[in-house]
Amino acid sequence: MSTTALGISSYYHDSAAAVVEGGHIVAAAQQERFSRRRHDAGFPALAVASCLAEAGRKLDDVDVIAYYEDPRLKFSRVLATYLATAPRAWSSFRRSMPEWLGWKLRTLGVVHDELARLDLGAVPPIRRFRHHESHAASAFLPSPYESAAVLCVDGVGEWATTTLWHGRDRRVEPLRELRFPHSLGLLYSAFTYFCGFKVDSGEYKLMGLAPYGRPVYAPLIREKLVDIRPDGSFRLDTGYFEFLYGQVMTGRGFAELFGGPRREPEGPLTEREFDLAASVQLVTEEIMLNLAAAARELTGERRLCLAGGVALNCVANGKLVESELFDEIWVQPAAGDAGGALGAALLAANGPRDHLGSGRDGMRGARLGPGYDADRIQVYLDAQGLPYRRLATDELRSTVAGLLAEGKVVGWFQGRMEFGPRALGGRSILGDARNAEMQSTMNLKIKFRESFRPFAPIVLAEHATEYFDLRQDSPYMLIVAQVAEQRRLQQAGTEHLRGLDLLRARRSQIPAVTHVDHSARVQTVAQDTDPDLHGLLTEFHARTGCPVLVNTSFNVRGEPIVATPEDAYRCFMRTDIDALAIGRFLLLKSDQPPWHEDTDWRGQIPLD
Amino acid sequence: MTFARHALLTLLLLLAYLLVLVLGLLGRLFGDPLRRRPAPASAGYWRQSRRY
Ligand SMILES: [Fe+2]
Repeated sequence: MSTTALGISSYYHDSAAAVVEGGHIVAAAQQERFSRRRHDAGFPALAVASCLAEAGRKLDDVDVIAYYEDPRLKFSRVLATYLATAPRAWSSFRRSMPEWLGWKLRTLGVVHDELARLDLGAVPPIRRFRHHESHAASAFLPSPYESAAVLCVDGVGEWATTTLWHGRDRRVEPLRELRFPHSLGLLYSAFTYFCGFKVDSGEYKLMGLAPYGRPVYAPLIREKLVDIRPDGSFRLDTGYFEFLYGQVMTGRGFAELFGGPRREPEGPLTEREFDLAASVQLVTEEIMLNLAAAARELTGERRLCLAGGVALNCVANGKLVESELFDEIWVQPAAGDAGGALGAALLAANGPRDHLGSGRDGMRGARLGPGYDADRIQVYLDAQGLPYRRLATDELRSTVAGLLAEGKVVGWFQGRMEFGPRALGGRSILGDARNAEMQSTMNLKIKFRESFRPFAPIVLAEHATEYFDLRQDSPYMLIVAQVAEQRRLQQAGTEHLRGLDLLRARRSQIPAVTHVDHSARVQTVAQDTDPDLHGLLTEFHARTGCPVLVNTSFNVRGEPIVATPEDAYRCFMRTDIDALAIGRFLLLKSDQPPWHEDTDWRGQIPLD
Repeated sequence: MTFARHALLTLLLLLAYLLVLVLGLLGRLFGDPLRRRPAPASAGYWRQSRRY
């Protein structure tokens, strides 16, 4: 009899739920998609209900609840920090202690009560796992490898910030760890904060900014902030940081080191921010390579699995692939704390890894959220009286491919929703990567976000190497590769461009997805994991000779990715998206009734 | 929350923090609970993971 486990992560950042039966992942989703609050950290009631519904289960059918971290161990770290820093952290103490003593110490009891309130049956026993143990399980157990080295790197969970594991059979065996406050995630977040972006969500922006700068501060970072040892371990000089004392990441010491106070959020970006981003990115890559080398040495394995928030740094992942330290790497698509729910559930269910025989991983393209069948979509469209055309599969593909080739932007809502921060073709906005205007159109008129931010390409897996220097598949858009030499363009008179002016140069045959350093965050699309998207790309390739499209998440800046047909239609109408393909239904913007809202929706979405 | 309750809570928290301060200062005589000092040049910072 296989065990059914419901995994939960909550109360820190990006709450989520996952249902695992035996070794089989049935459903997983983040609360933010349902609550429509980005990175929602509350109890994931809606995600739990959705996952159970996808699995066709009630709580009565669940054998065990798996919680992704150990709240008491976390409290011991919080307390030790206060002991080490008193009297400097009084204001943080005053704010956090009532919460800890009031309910956080008995988090498992609170989780029990919240589950009972769902009215989905009796609550089974709750087991807790360690934060990094959950990450490690999410990295290894669904991976396509019999055995592998496992590396988890994040901000902090309980104490551990960096852990090395050996994954074999159904187990992850702990080997080495680094503990708080020595954390690569916190180092990166400190620079995110200092450059005026939001901690825990602006890290992507910092990574996207790095190619505009030069790593001139890297020696200073190595000398003052982080002590990197030959064995891969490292230590932060916490004298330069403020995170031990309260809510901000950096203070005066840090500002003195880098020539003045932090950039104000939404303020102008200067060469200093570009250079800081390039510098911390370079140091992060060095540390990740060192850690990977340590993992290689300790385990003797030729394959590496990654999880933890830092594993979402796809530029560093690309460097890992390029380094050839390992034959292949696999990154958990929900590498952040949402993935902890999945890891904990996999540990609790402890079933056989049946996917190993298939040569694929166990994540099924990360399409683990809710899906909507044609009837459900049609009921919605008809109830709203919206004009649409219902097309056969082939017809939909060829029509959408035609629209894309004309330069139109298409909302692509197909099948189950993705688990993890990336849209992978279930809830995506697509465009023509060959179009030089596409990056600014999508940034400014569709996503309403900063113009410097790059877009990611999707490419037919079988044609990936014609366009990108990629040594392995990248099904989850978590590996950055260089655009292949033969696709690049050298535009005369652009060599002197610096900073954001670099955007003015046409860099390749697929400019919309080529970053200023010719890198691209590639997603390779295989026929068996996503036949819909693969079919569309194939059709587009046949028409245009180009197997690449732009793929960005179906949302506007600051908003969670759309979950339901309702969300998708709203986002479609609020933006300059030209057409919406939702299941087999195609909606054209020009056919739609005028859209108006009484309130200013832009003012209601907080900036990310 | 009434003013009286708020004041009482703040007072209790202050007392608790005073205790943290005293224990912290005493504890720091025996070393840093967060191990923030640099290791000798020949060593690294890895710790053996315990089995969970
Ligand atoms: Fe984490």
